[in-house]
Amino acid sequence: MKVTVNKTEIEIFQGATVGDAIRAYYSFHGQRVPSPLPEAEDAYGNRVAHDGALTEGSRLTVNVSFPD
Amino acid sequence: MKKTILLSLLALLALAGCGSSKSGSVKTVSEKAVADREVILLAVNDMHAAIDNFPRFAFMVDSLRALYPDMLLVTAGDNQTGNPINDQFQEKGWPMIELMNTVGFDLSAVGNHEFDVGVNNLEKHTRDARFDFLCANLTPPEGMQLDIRPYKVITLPNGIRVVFTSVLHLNNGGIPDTHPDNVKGFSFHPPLETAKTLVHLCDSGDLFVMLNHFGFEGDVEVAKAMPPGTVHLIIGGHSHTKVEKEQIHNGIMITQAENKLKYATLIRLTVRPDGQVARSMQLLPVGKVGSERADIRAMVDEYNNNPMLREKIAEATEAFTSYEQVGYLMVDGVRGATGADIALTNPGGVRIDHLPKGDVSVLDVYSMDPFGNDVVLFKLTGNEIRALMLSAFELDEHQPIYPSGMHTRYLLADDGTLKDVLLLTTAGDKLDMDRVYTVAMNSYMASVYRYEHQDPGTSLFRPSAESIIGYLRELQKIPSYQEEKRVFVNNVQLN
Repeated sequence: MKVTVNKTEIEIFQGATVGDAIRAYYSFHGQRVPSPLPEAEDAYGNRVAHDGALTEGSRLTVNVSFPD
Repeated sequence: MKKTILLSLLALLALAGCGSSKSGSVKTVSEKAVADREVILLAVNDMHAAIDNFPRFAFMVDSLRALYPDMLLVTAGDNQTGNPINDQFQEKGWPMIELMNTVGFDLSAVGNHEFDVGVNNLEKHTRDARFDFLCANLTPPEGMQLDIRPYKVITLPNGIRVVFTSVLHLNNGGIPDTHPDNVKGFSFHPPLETAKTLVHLCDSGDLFVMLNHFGFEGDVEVAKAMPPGTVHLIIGGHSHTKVEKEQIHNGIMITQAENKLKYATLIRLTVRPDGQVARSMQLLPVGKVGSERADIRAMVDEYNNNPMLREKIAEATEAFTSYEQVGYLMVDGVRGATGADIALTNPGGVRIDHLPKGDVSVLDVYSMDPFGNDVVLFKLTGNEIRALMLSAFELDEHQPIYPSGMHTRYLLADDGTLKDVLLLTTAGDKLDMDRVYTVAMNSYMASVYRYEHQDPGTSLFRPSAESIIGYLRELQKIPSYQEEKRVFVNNVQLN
């Protein structure tokens, strides 16, 4: 399924969680995955837990940015 | 005859003459009221077997009931899964049901993880729970005595009738996020479309509340699809969203309280004499710290001291003396449990390097694999597996991946950089690089390794530790892994 983290669209396995998407976002940009992971918000500005379920098209925001 | 909840619901609605009930007794109740009447709800979701928070939560519930004796206690589903004390209990998931009974829940949505306990346990849970399970978009297999209702009307002492219903999220495969074996024979109906057919329930009470397990974004879609003034509140779950401030979409308030009983949402619905409804919500922290209910603490302590987790599930005929050996056991377990051609684990996913000869317990498995990562299945070609190995080597600080169902030979340059990885069968022949293999790995690996592959993968929604436990229970006698060699590292090119 495809989800978006910040402005990066990521294809990730069906059943991935918020944490999986954040890890994939770091990996996509060639960055080492931090521990703990940064907090994430959904498209409505609500905080979402890292083990929260994602659905096709989910949009997340994390407070980090990487150069394109 | 096949029991079909959705069809039964539609039939009931037809019999009830929903469209003509606007001038019936429901509205008469409201019309007779001369003062505001309140409905108080305490809502949680995605408790995921966080039993250690129950003593504190129960104290909170009792305190609030002292203030609001008619308060309704509801959960938006996923009571199960996330704690081996509950998940590996003799009757899988029973601690949560017993705790919820004791605290006095009124309603629970059916979340995807309710199915994780297996159909027989789910059947028993729905029967033994002293609260009702709701789900309007499932049809159980023929003959199954599953006590799940499509909706429920609760009449409070102040005369207010609250209609509750629920829809459950489905993934792209058309089933909830659980292992497919758990929902064999079930039929599921699209949640958004089902929600639209439920709108007539608003005529069956003074308040219409959806207790959904559809994720916050799904609940927003439901809210947008509902005619204004029909649904008063959506209490949601599944996405573990922390809704701290009022979220109103198409005039409908949507709440969610993150997960694992970290929070609960106190909701006040006030029905005015003219039928208008005012709403407010407050997110209350729960957590573990603070006053507790003593009897619930005693129950939780007893669960946590359950000797079952230390009982023998298999016997190691020889000691395991390295991360490599334990890793091989883990991937053999995952491969055995999933039927995959190949199973892989990252070196960081193996947390112990010693397992003594003798009894192996559930706790031993959680010691070697404590992360709770689910197993993800991929269809990968040999070339794609090779690309994965190359990607992983740098990320895993030059440690190789532990395989089951294949062997690997890492070819290093003199400076230690990786030149190539050769994939071999367990007999030592070269693997067919064009063939497609079913490959099982944990969800951490599935998300962090960056390599070209066509299949994005599908979670089995079953933790790898649970797969290993199931495998060991069947295996009983674990052979020696002392001489097991599957990964070879050198700088010699094989012919």
